[in-house]
Amino acid sequence: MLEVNTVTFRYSEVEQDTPPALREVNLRIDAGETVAIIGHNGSGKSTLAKLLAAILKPTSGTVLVDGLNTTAHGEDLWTIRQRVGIVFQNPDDQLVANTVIDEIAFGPENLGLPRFEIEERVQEAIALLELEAYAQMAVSELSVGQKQRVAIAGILAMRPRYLLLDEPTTMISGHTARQLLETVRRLALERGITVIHITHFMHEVNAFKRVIVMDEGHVLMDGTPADIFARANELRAVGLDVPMVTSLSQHLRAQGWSRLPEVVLSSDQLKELGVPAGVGDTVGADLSRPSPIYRPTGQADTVGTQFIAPVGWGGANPMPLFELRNVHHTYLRGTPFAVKSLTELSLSILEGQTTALVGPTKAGKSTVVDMLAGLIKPAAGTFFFGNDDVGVPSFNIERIRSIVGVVFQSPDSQIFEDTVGKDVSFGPRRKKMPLAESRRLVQQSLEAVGLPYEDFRSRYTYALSGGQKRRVAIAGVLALQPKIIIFDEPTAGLDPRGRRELLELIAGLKQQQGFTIIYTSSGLDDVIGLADMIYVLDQGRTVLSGTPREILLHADQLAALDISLPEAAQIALTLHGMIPTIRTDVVSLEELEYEITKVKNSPAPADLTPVRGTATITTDDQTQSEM
Amino acid sequence: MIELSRDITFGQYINNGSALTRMDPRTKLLAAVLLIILVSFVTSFTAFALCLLYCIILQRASRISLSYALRGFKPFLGLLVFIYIIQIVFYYSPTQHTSIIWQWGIFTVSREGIIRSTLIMVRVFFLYYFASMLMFVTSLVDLTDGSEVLLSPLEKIGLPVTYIVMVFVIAFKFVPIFITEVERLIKAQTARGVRFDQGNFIRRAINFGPLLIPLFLNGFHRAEALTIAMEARCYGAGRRGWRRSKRRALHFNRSDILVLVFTIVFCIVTLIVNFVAPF
Repeated sequence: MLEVNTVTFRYSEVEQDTPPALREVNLRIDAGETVAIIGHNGSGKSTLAKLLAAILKPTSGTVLVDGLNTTAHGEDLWTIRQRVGIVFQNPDDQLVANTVIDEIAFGPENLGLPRFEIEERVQEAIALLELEAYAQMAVSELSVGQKQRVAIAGILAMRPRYLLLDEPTTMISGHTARQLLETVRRLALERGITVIHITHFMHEVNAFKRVIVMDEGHVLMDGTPADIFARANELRAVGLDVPMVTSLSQHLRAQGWSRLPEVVLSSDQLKELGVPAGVGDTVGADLSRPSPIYRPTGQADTVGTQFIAPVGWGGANPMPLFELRNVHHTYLRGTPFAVKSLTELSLSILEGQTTALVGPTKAGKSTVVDMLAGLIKPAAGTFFFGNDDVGVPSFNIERIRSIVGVVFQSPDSQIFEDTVGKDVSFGPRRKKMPLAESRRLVQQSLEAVGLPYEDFRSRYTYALSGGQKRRVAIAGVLALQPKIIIFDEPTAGLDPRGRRELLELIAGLKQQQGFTIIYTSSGLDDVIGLADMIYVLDQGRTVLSGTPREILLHADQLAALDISLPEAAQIALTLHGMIPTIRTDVVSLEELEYEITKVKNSPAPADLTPVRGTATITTDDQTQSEM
Repeated sequence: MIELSRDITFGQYINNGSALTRMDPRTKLLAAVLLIILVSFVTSFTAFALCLLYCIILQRASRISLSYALRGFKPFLGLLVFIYIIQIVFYYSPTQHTSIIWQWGIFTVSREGIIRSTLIMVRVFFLYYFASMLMFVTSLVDLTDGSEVLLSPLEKIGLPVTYIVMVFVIAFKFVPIFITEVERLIKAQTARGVRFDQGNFIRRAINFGPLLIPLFLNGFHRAEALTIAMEARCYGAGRRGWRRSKRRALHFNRSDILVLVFTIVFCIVTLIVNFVAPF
């Protein structure tokens, strides 16, 4: 049993005036429970995890692991660390050895176990996490998702009683993340391990028996997922989202689908929608006049076709800025580590449009970004910048660099200076711009990203929050006055609120200042509402290209590539199994709702027989339910 | 664009299944130490020629391309040539006996100077070659296990060998991470108007200055995170008499003994040659 008794924790003893990271938290987690702890960045959830793992010691109050105080030393601390295993956000921070098998053996070796027992535990952990094929590989050759599995295996080989997962899915995307959680769920059941999963993604928590919501360093809610999601408005107030399927069902209930459960946690609970309307129910009557809120403004009948036309696609053909044809590229050429990153990749970037490059890790996105930013030239194939061939020796690569700005994935490697003002002016100073001009640019850029100039210019960059750092990085790029901005997975690692704000900012930049935007992402969530054109890459080639709506029609192929669908499309896909006439290429919640109401209102065609219970298309929601 | 990891090859392990990779790490470590001591003492070109023969055998057995094995030497080449020239023109013989070939002001070029400086350069080359070959054919874990066993007698005099070895292992682990980090920083700076691929040597060196602060900050951050992760997995943990055990057992094979004997004999022969043939 884990007990947290009136624990308060401050990171700094000196700054008594700043609020503590945790204040007077009381908590009891029994052996065998599966608990999700959720909260936005800075809510104290990670601090709580570190206190439970005896990495941090409480400022006041006590943390007990099976009755042992975490402030203990020697033998007791040893026992606590053996019983409580913790997996961190970034696998690179916790992997010690260089091959998978040695990494998994690291813990048991530290326990001083005899050789045969180490071997037995390592093999067991490898089997549990299905890592057989990777056992002898170097950790550095693995993808982030695989590394995270190795990290979990390394903990399991120590046979802990409690497994703490501190935001393990922040760096991995959709399907891989769900698979990982599914594995953890299975382990909890089979091995009786207490699992405590810390996350800021709401859709991950419904598979857990108990959900704890943290805010401002204290426990805001504690209950079953259904209890928690019933309080949707309170959740939104503290910056958390409820899963889209829960919001959807609430909206639909409000419109008269009274037979829907009060709190819907997974999309197959929507099966009531498959039952023809009007059977012993007032739904039909209600829906004959669709609620104006969910109906795209006054164009009810044409809405379907209106959505199909991609924004900015019609009219005069815009000029392609970049044109890549059958491009090849190999990293570490001429070494034993040579990797083919691009094979026959083709794409074109049109002026004024937002182009998204979507693909799993190692699909070649970063290579394309480097090329478009003028950082590398392709090894083979043609690369046109406007009408000029970049491949010819006389081409001056500076021409590309001067109009393309890149916002890299991690803002930490993009911020070089100690204060915000100095950092944003880095580019203008390099160009030897006059001081007044540079100052004006810095001010303009900071304000464009929503950071007031006077307030931020002299702030220290290391003291900024993750979201603010990203904004400063964007301002630094804007100060270079580019025409094209490349965003390389900018939302990775942000919590839902940070992500939403950043996407709004990018959409705003595009609309107000007319930038051409290139956006890379591992899932479709970010780009579905933002992009005009999406290229799906896999293993260095273009596998799909089209407007967001066209891409959504290839759900099977996307699933095979491990590219997560946006929530709305995911739900539509599940519903499609029950209501075959529903469209699956919906791009937003509003559109999905409109589709559902439209389908239900239309006179039922003969083939609209409800498929009860078993949906033909299995989504991961189903596999996760009922934990 | 700069692809640093193409040129920085030192410390890389190339798992190509060659005979050398499969050998017991203790054999490789001992042989490497012997050879490194040998080339530090040898002062004749004939003896170095013998070392070259040994290298050729090594190179064949490793199945690594020669160009890759030597590529790591390339970044230092300019610096080495510079040192070489300085050494020649400022050579000062302890015996005052020099046969001067060319003189201009304070600069002199003498026969002895050329010989001495060339010997030093050849020595540097061999030292680099043996050390990097050891890294190419030995995985980090092998290196750790091997050196822990070889250094274990030092524990008797109170040296914390396990910890010392772990420090080196982690330092090595960080090399590729640091290189990727530098590459990323270079890209980020290039994207904001710094020109790493233009200008003279000094200009380029100055450009690297601003990389250092973020590099070290990230380094410290990572080191701290890794410490926490290791402690959470019971490394150290302040337990009295704590000792790690090992999953892997090391085995000395007949071939290991053969290689060791061959290397020892080779060292003795080379030393004799060195005294018999002083040039």
